[in-house]
Amino acid sequence: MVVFLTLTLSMTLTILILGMNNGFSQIFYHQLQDPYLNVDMTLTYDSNSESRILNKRGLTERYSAYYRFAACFFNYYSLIGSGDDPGYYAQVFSGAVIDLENLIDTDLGVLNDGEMFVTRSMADKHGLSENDTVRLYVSGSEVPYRIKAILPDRGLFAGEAVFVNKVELLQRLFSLSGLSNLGNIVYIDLIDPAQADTVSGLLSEDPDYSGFVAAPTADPLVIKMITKNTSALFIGVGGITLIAVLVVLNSVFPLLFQDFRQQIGIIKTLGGDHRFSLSIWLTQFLLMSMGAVPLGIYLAWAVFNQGAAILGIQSVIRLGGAVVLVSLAAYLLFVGGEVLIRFRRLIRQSGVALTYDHRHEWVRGGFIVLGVSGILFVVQKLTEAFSEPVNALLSMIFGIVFCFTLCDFLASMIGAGLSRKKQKSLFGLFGAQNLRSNKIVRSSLRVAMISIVVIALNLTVRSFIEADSMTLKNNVLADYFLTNIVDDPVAVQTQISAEYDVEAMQDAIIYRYISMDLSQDETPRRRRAVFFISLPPENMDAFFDYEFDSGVLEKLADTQTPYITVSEGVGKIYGLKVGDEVVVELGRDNPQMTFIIAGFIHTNYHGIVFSNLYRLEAFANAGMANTVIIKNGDDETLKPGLMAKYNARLYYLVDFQELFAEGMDEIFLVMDFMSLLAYSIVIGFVIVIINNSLLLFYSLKNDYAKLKILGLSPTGLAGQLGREVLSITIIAAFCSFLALCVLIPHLGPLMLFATFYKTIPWDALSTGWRTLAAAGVLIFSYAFYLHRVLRLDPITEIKTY
Amino acid sequence: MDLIECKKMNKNYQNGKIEAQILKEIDLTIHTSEFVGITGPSGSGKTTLLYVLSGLEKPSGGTLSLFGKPIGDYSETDLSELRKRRIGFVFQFYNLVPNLTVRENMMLAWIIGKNQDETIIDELLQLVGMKEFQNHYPNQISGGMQQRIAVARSLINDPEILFADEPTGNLDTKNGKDIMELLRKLHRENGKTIVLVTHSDDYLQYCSRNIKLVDGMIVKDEILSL
Ligand SMILES: Nc1ncnc2c1ncn2[C@@H]1O[C@H](COP(=O)(O)OP(=O)(O)OP(=O)(O)O)[C@@H](O)[C@H]1O
Ligand SMILES: [Mg+2]
Repeated sequence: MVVFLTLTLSMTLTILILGMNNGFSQIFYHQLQDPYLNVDMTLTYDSNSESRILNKRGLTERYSAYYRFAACFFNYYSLIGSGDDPGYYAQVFSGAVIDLENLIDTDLGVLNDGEMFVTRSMADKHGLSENDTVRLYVSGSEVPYRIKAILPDRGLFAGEAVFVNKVELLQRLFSLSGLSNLGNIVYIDLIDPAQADTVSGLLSEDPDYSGFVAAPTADPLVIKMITKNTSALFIGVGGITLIAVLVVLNSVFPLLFQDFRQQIGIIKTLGGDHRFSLSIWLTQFLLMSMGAVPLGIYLAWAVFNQGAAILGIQSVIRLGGAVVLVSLAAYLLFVGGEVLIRFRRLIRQSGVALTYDHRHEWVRGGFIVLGVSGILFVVQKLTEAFSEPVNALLSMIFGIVFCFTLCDFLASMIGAGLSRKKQKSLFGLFGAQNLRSNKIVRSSLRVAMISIVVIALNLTVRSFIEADSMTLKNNVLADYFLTNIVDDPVAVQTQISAEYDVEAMQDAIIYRYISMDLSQDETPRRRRAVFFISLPPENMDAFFDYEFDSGVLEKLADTQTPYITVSEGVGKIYGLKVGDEVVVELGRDNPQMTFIIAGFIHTNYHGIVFSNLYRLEAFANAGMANTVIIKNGDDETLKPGLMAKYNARLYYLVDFQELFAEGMDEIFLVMDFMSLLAYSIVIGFVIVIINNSLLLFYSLKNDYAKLKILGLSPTGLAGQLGREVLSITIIAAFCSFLALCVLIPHLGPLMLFATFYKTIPWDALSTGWRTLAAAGVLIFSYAFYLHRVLRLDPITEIKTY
Repeated sequence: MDLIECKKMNKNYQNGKIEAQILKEIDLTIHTSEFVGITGPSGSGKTTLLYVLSGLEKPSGGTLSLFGKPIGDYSETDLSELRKRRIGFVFQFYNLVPNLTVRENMMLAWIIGKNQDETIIDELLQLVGMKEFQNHYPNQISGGMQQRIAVARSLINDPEILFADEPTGNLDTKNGKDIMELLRKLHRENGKTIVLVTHSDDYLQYCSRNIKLVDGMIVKDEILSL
């Protein structure tokens, strides 16, 4: 049973770790795609677009061969009122009914002018029912609509949203009739979704649509990036977990080994052929694996799908044949190898030796490994001889080997020390001896240590993600920025401060989604900056709370040389140094502008760059400022007011906090999933520890029986056990703590292997707490062991010996 | 004084669904300073009787008193206290702790008994003639030697009564005799009460009383002349 469970869990954990990438990518795909149902791509404007209204006619004329439907909507946020409620904001969808039918894949019937559909959640939130009247504020006047039907939330038409006829709405908005082809977004269902790239390529060449963005609903590149970034966080943890699985598997074999060595010993003394016993052995493993492998695969599948369910994904997540095959191969390789190696060692021994009690074996060679790994670690740290990720990997390997050996070594030392003590105690005699030489106690110690490391590492990564997303949010103090301003931003500021109570404002240059080439040689290495920002550095503090390398702010005040600063992580990923050149595409007027790296921003958010464009004399007269950054006091009317007022002028209001809030929702969802993954691993290891304590129990129960016969009372026995468990836990916790101190700071650099980077902060206190928490889990798991030993019936034991 | 007294005592074992009665209606009293030899064919219940009489197992029916107190009145802790202070055991398989030396094995019992004087260990090792092997591990000495250590260990807390289950079962005649001589010495010189299970009637010459079991029933109970 112990062996079966361990084999199962090993399989599950291996698949979980190896299949993480695959699982994440499906989950992100569904998360992005599922709300869109049949829609494969959208065509709409962004902050760089010069118009917000597009005409569908060209699409119908030239591209209809590609799609099943192209539903042209005019959507916007609007103030809505009902009953006595003065108003609230909701998403207004407008189009033809057939468009909505396509969008949410539902038959709807007729919707006349003056009628609207509302979502179930909207109706529930504001107490609306069919035939109620709802006021829509259109062009400064109230238009009453009658609720025709309440539709269950489905696809994009979900949350607080209403749907009305587009032609009627546009007539009210623009006083023009028959505008059925106009809209601000087109949802397209392609006949062949694989053609999304082709179609968006064609559209970007088409003069009618080149100013708009045609993007697949679930962009494979975006998915790949999020997946990579998410998985990168787990590289370290995953690697350690896999090592742990090996250690655990390795610790389980002695159990089988014990039975088999006697069996083979008997067969041998009887003159039997050992090939026969090998085949028995292999068959037994095969039989067990036949149960353990499918169960393991199923458990891994269940974890992924449970995770998907948490994220609200209904589709089934597949494990992927390749992942399962590789995991299976790894499993067979290890289990098969282990069986063969142990078997070979067995058959070399004489038959009689095999029937001896072999639980005890002195551990030798620990000194050398301890010394060598320690020296290698120090040398590696001092020389930093390789690239950053390789350095990190080597430090982690040497460090963990060192801590592992130290664990063994400490056990020996403490054991030896206790048994040399003059004043003998039961623990000094019995427990210490086990610490010193019992193989199962030693392997138990190793399992305990690696389990603590895995559990604590999971806790660390999880809390890091949580803290990190908070920091990202807190680093931006500004609330909104109003961009795409074609007039003088200073004049806009004056208008705003005349009407609203604003805490701070600053005119600035902000471009979004611009491309940078960060390569220092011929081959370009492009990366998109989500925010390219330039504002007077002395006013930085009011809007951003970033920490910069020293000297950066001075350079951002320079009026001659173009300087740029990127996040530390981007610097590491692309190997940038201060003084390197970065070529930025700043729109049509400045397609190839070269900036010098001024230093780095200490943030884990890689989407933001700052430059001194605002200050450059060469651009002083070009009217580059296109944005007002705003920090709101607490004027609730500011945002709706700004939207209402400036949307008409095609300015674009970006709500930082909302942007981050959305991002946070995403992060929290991902985190829930990661937690699930982490908890599965933790639970897996708790079971492993319990399993292991069973092994320990089997190994030691005979000795405990002797103690009982000698008259050791139940309390005395409990005390003895408690001390044993405690000493194992303390040694394991101490070494784990050391290992964690080595591992955690290197997790960040290790991510560079996946071209990703985050600074994962390490501090002794929280590492200590997490080690303690994990050690607590360990002691808890050993409670089972205590229980078993205390209930042990000495007679059964004594009789068999 | 009556150390052990039982009346109509039964012991059953559950074997799957079948409940087998191993000891049937045992009436027996063991007095101080007796050397009782329990004999009988294999499977007759000798070991079981020994375990029940020593409190290691509970009887299924009838009454049993140890040191004048009904077995039911002993708690787990009381029983371990008994084993610690008043009862010693020697088994067929010596039951030494394999990763402790001879001396450490003695030490183990000594620590559990919370004895004061460590010289008892040396005295006992001397008594069984194992002093010079005190730093050997059990697998480094012969079976007879191991059994001598087991006897020495059982004496460490100066028990009033010693239970021995075929202590010679794994030994040759010479070593077997040595152990029996040792037991006789303990009985005669130290006044220990000894309950011995043995296969061989040859050893009855050492005993003061013989109880013969067949199929879980006492078929013979006689005082032997020493
Ligand atoms: N724990 C147990 N469960 C079920 N049956 C048992 C148990 N222990 C002993 N028995 C049965 O009780 C009977 C007596 O066993 P016991 O060991 O007392 O015999 P014994 O007289 O000591 O034999 P031997 O001389 O071979 O040692 C046997 O038939 C045995 O199968
Ligand atoms: Mg017997």
